[in-house]
Amino acid sequence: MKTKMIFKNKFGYYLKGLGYTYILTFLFIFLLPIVFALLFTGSLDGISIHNLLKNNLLPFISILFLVISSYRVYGPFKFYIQNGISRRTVWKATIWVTALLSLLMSVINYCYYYAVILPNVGNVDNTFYNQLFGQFLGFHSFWNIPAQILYEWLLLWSFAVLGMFFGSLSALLKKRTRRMLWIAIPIGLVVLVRFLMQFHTGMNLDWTMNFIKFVVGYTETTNEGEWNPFHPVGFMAIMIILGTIINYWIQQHIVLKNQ
Amino acid sequence: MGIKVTEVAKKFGRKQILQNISLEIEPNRIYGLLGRNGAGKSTLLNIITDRIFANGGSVTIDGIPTHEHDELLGNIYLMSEVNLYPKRARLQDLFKSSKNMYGGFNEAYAKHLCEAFELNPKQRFGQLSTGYRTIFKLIIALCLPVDYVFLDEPILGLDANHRELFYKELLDTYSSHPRTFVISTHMIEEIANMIEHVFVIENGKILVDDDVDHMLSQAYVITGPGETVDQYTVGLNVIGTESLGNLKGNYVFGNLNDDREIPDTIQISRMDLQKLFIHLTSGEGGSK
Repeated sequence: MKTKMIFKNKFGYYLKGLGYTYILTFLFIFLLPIVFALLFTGSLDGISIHNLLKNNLLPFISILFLVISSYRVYGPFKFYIQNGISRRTVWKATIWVTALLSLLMSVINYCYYYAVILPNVGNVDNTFYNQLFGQFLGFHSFWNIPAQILYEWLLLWSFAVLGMFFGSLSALLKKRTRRMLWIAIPIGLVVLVRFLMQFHTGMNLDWTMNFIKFVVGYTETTNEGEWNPFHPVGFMAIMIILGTIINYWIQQHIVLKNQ
Repeated sequence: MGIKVTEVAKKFGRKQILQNISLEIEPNRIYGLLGRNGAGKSTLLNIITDRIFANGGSVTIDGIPTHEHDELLGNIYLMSEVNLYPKRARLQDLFKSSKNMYGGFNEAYAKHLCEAFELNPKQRFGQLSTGYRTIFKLIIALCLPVDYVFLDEPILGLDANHRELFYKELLDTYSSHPRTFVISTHMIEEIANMIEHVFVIENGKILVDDDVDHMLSQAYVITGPGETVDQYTVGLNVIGTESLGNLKGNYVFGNLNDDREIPDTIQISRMDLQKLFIHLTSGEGGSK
């Protein structure tokens, strides 16, 4: 009962955020080039609606929106615990919210691509999905539609789970520790990459390569779009489940910090 | 039945804040939770409402642990000193959210309180002054259909008029709809007449857990010439002393030995709750 109510509360809030995000994106796509053209050339000669409509920022913006909004864990925790809602209930409601939101964004992005972008790029269907997996189910197969939506849905959902993972971790930490980690983690990653670049020749990394190939559905073929989409779909589904369980465990440890 | 806190302990780093505290909060009573700064009052309230975790012990309502229990947590409202509401949210929206999450909210009474305190519900939480944030939280606390209301520093930033109004509304709502209030404040004088039972926390331990009437019936001030007062209070639990020239006042907590003759030069009067609290927690005096 409470889960349903928190779901409604959260979903309404995120839906509003989603609306603002799409509006801002469209302003960015359509208004910014016009403003820049006017500022730097003084005319709109180089601007054509046809070209503006070719821009496809939506999947990238969707990922950004989901990562940022899912990262917000501590703020909602404070609000819900003030209102007598347990961590578990918030976690359960959040699963449904992110699932539905990412599905919704995936469908919107799909529709926008085929209704607006594709006619403007001369009907050359070159989505990321089609380039890699488009031929697997048959390029003109009906099943490519749900598969493409499913693929993007799980991709967006994975990013939401990742955002929530970092948000949950940071909710456990004090501001000072968090800041130190924000500096230490990128430095650590750079050092790790440098280390791997320097010493990878001496290591046996074949298994890593094979694993990555398997996960992305790589198939040895000369034709484009014949990779197996169900490998990444399955991998993302497993990662979402694992990530969600890990997030639950972390969120069970969140407490009100000394303010 | 009610809230039962059993052997609750809490450490922050190396500092022991609560040391195996046990107490019971019964339905439909007004409690005072008193203690000096840093005594552990807010920590205890945060543990009861599952906002932070204890290092040991348990908190139950009617025998069921409150931890991660929506129904039990939804029967408690803690109005805390810290602000947990989003700053950008409008007050009217926060009233609505509280109503949804607690499953009810006395909107008519909230409207009346907003008018009485001159609070505009269309404002955003972040726009409010400290006093008005307190007022907003008090309105929520008084309008929710919960059985247990914890008020941690409920008069923070309130002027004298608003404090008076709050005390009046608190007593009105309590008499029309009895429920448990636990008030934690430093303004003891102002709540002394309201509270029925008092918990005093000192150094993370419960120092006093008693009905106010019973407690005050054992609290005396013995005044008179210093030497006579000292002679009379020998063997009694003297918790504090004040002197002015030759005159002396000894604060006694506990039974007086009524069989003894009271010297003519000595006066025995009752202590008020604030004085009693000050002397109990000041670190001087006897066994307490």
